[in-house]
Amino acid sequence: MSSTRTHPPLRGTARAGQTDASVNRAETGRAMEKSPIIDAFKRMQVPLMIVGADGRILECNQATEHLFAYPHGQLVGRATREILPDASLEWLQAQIVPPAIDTVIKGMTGRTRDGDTMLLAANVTAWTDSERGLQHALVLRDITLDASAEKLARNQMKRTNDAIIGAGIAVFEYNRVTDTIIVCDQWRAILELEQSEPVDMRNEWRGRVHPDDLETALAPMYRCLAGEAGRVSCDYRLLSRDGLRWRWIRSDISIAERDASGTVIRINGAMSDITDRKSVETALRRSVERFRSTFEGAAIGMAIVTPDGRFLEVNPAICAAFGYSEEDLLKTDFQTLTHPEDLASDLAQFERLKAGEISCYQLEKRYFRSNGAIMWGLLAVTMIRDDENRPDQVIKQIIDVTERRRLSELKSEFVSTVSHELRTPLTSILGSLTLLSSMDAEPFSDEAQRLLYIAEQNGERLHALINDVLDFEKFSAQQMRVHLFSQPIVPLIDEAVMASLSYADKFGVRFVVHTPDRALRAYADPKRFQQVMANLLSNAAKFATEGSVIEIVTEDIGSAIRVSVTNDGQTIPKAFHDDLFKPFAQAAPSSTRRRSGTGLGLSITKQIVEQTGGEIGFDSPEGGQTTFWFTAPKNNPH
Amino acid sequence: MRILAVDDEPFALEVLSMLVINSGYPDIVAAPSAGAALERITEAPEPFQCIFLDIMMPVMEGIEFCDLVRRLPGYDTCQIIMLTAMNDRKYMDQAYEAGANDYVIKPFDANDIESRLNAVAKALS
Repeated sequence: MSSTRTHPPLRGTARAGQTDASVNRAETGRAMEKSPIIDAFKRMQVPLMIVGADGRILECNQATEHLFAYPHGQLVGRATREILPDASLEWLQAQIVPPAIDTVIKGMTGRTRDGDTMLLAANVTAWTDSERGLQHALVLRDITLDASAEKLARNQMKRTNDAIIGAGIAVFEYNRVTDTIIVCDQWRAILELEQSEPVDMRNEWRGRVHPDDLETALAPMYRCLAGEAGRVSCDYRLLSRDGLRWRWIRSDISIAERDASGTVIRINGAMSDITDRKSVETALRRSVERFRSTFEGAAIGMAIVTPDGRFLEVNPAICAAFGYSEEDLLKTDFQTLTHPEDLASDLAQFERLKAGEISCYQLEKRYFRSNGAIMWGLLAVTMIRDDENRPDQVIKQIIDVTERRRLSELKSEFVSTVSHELRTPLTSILGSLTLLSSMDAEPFSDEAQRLLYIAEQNGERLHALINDVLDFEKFSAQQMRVHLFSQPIVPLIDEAVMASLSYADKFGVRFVVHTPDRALRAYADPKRFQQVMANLLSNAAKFATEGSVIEIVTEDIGSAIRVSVTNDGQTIPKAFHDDLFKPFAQAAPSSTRRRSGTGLGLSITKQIVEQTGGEIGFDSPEGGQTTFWFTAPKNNPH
Repeated sequence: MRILAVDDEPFALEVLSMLVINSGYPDIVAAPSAGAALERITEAPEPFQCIFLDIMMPVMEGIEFCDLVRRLPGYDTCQIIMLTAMNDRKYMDQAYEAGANDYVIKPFDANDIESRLNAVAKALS
């Protein structure tokens, strides 16, 4: 940039009509040397120099000599280009564009005597006189350090800007005095405005803030302007440019400048898009709320408990189950409420949970209600760990099963009582029939004997039925205690086969046992094992073709022992397959063989097998070889 | 062998008595209750050697009665066989604890009764 000035001619300019130019020159020179300006020129600490028409340094002051590190008097006469490499005469001339007679050069290179470079700013003025022709006067300033300081500041500024842009922070400034707002590019970007769009920033922003949030969004600015607070933040919703979605914005406003009287005149702010963070926060909040309402509304008693048993939080259902108010329940702990006999087993499982051996466990145990009554509860326990994987909180769920157990007991009692009542008259019936049969003294007619036989058979059948019903009920209520221990299986099988030999004789079949390894062991309850074998063997005998062989095979299948009983005979009808193990299921009377038995045998057998930790199944393909198999575990299933 | 049968069910009592006689042991006395049984015991010139005792009886149950009989003089070696239609293990345990020697589940097998009687007779001789 240059400023335009007109310059009165310097003293000493030739005028038309002068005869002795040289005398004039000398005079002028002497006059000049003695003038205060010349003195000033020489003494001034500001580097001044005059460049002649030949491009050489005409005059310069000591400051200039110092600047370029030349000894006194050594600089005059040198080509300007020696110290200002860019400043050829042409170049200098070109800097000043008429009608201007001077200019400011913002940066040109200067070179010292030692060859070091520096950055200079210069004021350049040009004039022409008759004696010396075109001259340029330069006032120099070393701006090397300035420039580097400025460069440093600019770099820092750039880095800061980059950081701000990288963080997506939009800075803006409001000057109350001038009532202007300055925004950075990022601010425009957040509002989805083009960089050069001429838009009234204020109105644009205001118009896009959610109406419900406008007051919240403006409050920080008012508060800072009022000087109430140094820094205020707020979150508000901003509509996207297309008007389709809301974004969450966070603004931090702070006081930037106060005037002499302390009134705030400038505030600045940083704005960032926190939509993503908000959605995560919202999702988290919803999740917490969901858990909370589940917890509160659950029909199952739930409690959050510390690792040492104290209640942290309880839901209404558990308070009701124990008969305490929430307040009172929170004062007590689980150990106090547990029946002493059930405490040990609970603690044992809990230790395993804490150690991480198991992730959860279930237990039926007794608790004391607030009135001292015993409650049977089905307890389920899981554990939450903290960031360092240490036990943090325990979640306990309790279902009150007192009533369920009572009903179950009632049912058992009922069945027992009924069985007893049924057996009593049966005793007399069977007893009488037996006696009748053994009465040789009064021989019966064939017909009478036949009737006697029928009565006996059916009496026996009734007897078996009652036994089975009782067994079945006991097993389904899981009342039947099984005493499992590891033992050799083969002897049990041998024993079972021996006990069923009468069946074999009766149906004209043979049992053959294959046991490759006599040392095989498994967990079993001997009595129940016999019951299972008796059932399978009698079934096989009943359904086997007369004269055939029934094979009993024992094999090791890894984690268990498998026993299978195979007989030749009719294939089990496909329609019956699903119902085979159900109570009172018997194949359709289409089969010719008379079926005796209660119809409960297989269902009881299945229950026994499953309660002793095994599995049961059958194969009855076309071709008539039916196999029933069951397994007994090698390891204790409990 | 002197035998006593105690059961509150009259038919059961009758059938049992006939079965015992049929098995070859004619000396059998029947009592329909614990009270009546006690009377028979008091009247008897010599202690009974074998007692069939039903568990489920009104007023005094078989187990209680068993306990009582064991305390009576001359009844420490008597063979007491409990009878019941309940095959609950807990009754079995209680019976043995009260001093019973054996246990039969109704309806009983006639052969079973006979073999037990034979075993008792053999043990006594």
